[in-house]
Amino acid sequence: MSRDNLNSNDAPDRLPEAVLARLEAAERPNVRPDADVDAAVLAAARAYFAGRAGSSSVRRGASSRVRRGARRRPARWAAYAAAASVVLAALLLVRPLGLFTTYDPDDIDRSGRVDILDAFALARMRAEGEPVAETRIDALAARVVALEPRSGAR
Amino acid sequence: MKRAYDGLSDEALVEICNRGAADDAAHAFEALYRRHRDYVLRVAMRFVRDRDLAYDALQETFAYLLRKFPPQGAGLVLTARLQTLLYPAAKHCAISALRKAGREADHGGDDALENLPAETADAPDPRVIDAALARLSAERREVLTLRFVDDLSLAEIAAALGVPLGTVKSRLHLALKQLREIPEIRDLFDP
Repeated sequence: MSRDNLNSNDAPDRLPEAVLARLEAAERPNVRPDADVDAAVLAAARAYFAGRAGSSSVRRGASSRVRRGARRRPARWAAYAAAASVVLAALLLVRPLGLFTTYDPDDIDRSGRVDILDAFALARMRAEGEPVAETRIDALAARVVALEPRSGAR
Repeated sequence: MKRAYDGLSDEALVEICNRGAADDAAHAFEALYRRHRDYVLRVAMRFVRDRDLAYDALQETFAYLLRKFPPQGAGLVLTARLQTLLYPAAKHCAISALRKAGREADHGGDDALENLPAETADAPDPRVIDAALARLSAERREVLTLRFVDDLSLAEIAAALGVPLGTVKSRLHLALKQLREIPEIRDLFDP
């Protein structure tokens, strides 16, 4: 703790050991975390973020809704499949013309930049069973850390 | 997977909370929570001196942090350690929890210097030091605590308290001066 580690530009003073010990005794109360509180905070966080793209819970919810709807309106899904086929065919035709954007191999999420999200996308792929070497994740994480400057203004 | 988040800096975790997919953001937030939970709990406890109220303040503080991130918030960019954001939030939530409970904030005891036990030749009785610390104003004691217990820099303290750097320096200087001038503990400062 900060008995002697004060930066000379920061604070020239120091606190005597005995005084610091009493201050710490008073101001560093030992409160044990509570598992129920932890669970409540983290559940709130999961619910809060669940509306974003990429949420497995949202994906699961959406797919279950789709399945219920599919039983009632099978024709709509046939139309979607047909439309998807047309788009796919168009993309395959365009590709030889070189109109596809070239991405960095480490730009896993195809966002146009290599950042920490790519490392996590890769880690998630590995967690989901895809053959991704851990060394590749580590190398990407190291590259990202080297690339990313420290944040600016709040 | 979670271990990977634990190894990241606060800046990286905040960035994932800002822009990551839902699952990544939730994991990153959990890592932030587990990293800073005890600090927030400790800060809350300083003001409420009650474990249940401290838990309430802990939840409110992290709910406040959560709302900084999209979809509700615009996103958070750190300019200093996350503690400088969490400290005022935890303090506010703690005082708010106290008010709801109909109590006043406790800044660390109100022992007077009168009726103190006699000073020994080696070191003063801890109660003498406690009483000396209790004589500090809430503002001076707060700066002293942030500096020496929480290990924040003066600039970080200024950010956490929302006051100019000069005010922090002044309060710290006056706190130390006040302690030095108390005869019972003067020798501790000038051995």
